[in-house]
Amino acid sequence: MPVDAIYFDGQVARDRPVSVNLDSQGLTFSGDGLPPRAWRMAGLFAVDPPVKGHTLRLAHDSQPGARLVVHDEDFMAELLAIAPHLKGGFNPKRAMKFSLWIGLSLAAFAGVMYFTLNYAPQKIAVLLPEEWRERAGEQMEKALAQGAKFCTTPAGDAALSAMLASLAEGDPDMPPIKVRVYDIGLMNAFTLPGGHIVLTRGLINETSGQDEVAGVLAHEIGHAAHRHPEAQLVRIMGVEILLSVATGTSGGGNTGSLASLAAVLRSSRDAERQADTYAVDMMVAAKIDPTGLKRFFEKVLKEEGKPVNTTLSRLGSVFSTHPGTAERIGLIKPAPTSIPLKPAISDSQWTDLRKICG
Amino acid sequence: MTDSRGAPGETIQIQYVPRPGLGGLSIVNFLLTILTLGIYRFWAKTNVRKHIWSCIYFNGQPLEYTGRGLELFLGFLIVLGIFMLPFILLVFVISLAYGPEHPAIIALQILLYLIIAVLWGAAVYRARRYQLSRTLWRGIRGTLVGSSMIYSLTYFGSLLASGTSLGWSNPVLNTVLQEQIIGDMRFGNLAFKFRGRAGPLYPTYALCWFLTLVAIIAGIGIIAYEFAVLSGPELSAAFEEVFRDNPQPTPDQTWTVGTMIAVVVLTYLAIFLVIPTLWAIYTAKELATFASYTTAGNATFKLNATAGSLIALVIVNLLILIFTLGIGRPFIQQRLVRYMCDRLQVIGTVDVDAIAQSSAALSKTGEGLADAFDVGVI
Repeated sequence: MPVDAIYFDGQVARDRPVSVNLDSQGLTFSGDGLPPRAWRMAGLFAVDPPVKGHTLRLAHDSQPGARLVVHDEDFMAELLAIAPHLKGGFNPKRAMKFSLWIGLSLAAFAGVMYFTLNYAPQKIAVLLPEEWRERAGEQMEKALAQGAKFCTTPAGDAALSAMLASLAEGDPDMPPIKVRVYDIGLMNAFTLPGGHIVLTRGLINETSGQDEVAGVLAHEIGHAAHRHPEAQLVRIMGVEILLSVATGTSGGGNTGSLASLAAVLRSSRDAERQADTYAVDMMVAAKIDPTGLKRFFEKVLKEEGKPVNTTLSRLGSVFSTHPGTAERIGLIKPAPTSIPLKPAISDSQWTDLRKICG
Repeated sequence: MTDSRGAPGETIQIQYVPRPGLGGLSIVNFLLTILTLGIYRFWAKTNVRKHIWSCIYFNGQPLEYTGRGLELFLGFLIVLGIFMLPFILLVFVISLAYGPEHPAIIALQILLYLIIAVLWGAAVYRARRYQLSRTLWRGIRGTLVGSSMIYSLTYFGSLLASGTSLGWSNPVLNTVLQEQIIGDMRFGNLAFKFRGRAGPLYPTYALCWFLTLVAIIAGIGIIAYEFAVLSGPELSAAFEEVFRDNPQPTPDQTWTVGTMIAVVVLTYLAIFLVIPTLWAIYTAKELATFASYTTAGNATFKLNATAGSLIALVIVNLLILIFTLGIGRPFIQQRLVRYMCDRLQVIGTVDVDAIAQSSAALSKTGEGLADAFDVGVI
């Protein structure tokens, strides 16, 4: 039984009354002065999901813009029985496609995150030119010191150089290092890009022997050798780029701020383990007692209970990646007894170093 | 031609027929947008447009929105790839190499704002063109046939002129911009025309401009008067007492400082409520005037926009936005569209049967710039 409909051909806005026939193959319709047309079931779609009692608007892939408007409930029911795909709603094929898209998006997201956080930073850090690293390290050292006094005495500097030199015996490929001591009470040490290492007065005063400071210094050299600060800097920038992409804004690089400094100084557990391993290997090869680092960690463990509330302590440091200090202590083994150990610097040099901040 | 019985064609009735489903759509869109970290917004926007468009009836036939979320997403990716990403990377490389305070970064940022200002008009124009080309009525789609760059340069020029003339160039240049975009508008092969002068807008503009000036001067005056009345050493002593580390003010001092702050805050708030409200008078006048300057076929338009109804529209929209935490945004869009549909009349006739399909090419992507700049489009 043909039903009446209105046809727009997609070429002119004129409406044409047509009568439509439905069979299992598709629709055929014709009208006044209009040659018969056929729309096959494949490619047929409803513009809006069909609702009982409402007008049904049909379209076909083969004729963009053309519309067939039918207002007949029996016709709609019959058509939906033959072509349930017009109903919209749950459709296994569409649901599959949708899940596939979601799966792909999640995989792409995971891939981008892995690349930005884990893969790229270390690779890019190695490629960064010397001058860039140097400049970043210089600026960050200034931000870190916050105007604290730079400690230097001829004898103290000589003691520090001697300590570096005896550690360097443990690694002929040691990267160039610039160690500076600042008059900061907190017990801490930091490694910045470009091999800049900052030691605090608190660290030198509260340790009970030269080998403890040497252990800390070797650990920091480990960070510098692995370029951890540079990688962290690149990582932060990557995250900022991702954020600007997601929010559609153009972020400015504000790597000079204290907040981003804190982020640069935060190392992952893996990075800490790498630096510890480097430090122990270096000290054993340099014939310095590696348990100096262990004793230092034990001291840190005792300190960790105490509340401290200064800007520098909030920056976090390699020592306060809590929890894990106990685990790290366990990983430091004494040097084999066959190796004759010597102190990192002489006792008189150690006295000079302790007086470096006056 | 003025006799509608003699002219070919039919009169046009505009109707907004709401249908259920927008609430559910809003919630699903909101959840999926959050779950996908914002990427779903292109599909969300598309779904809302499909719904709203299908509620707009011209002579019993609804509009149809045929755009796809993927087209908007690709438009976003293109703008991101060729415009935003290189810029962001450049800023990061420079800040890595020379430090974050290097003047080149500030220069780049200024350059970016300049580029955005120059391209803002293009973003508006291209978004409008995309939406028209995805709008179907009786199987026929619309388009804009002109150049988005000419519009964009005019737009940029109007920004500069507005700044230097303290806003007095706005009516003239808004008219010029409207003339460009309406003159470029087509529905199929039916051309829209815009003809009219900015002169009639000026009395209303002047009224709003001077009332704004009076409001600002009054606000400053109230604050200055308050300071003058309470001035002297007692005032600064009271402020010092209340804001020191361990305050022990006398009740008198508390009262003085309290009134002072209350007056400043209330005056400030009043100015920021009064000024936009004042400008609704001009906006209503401009909307109605521009509608009356527009023709299509033998028809002209009449928009019954009033300041009161615009203010009510905006205030209710703000309340919806606040109380639904942004989830109800589709309803705001529906209300804006509905406002136009309910108040727009087509006077005269259009020969609908003679309108043929537009031959303008269809772009594959849309609205990248508008999304990047966050141009306010529905």
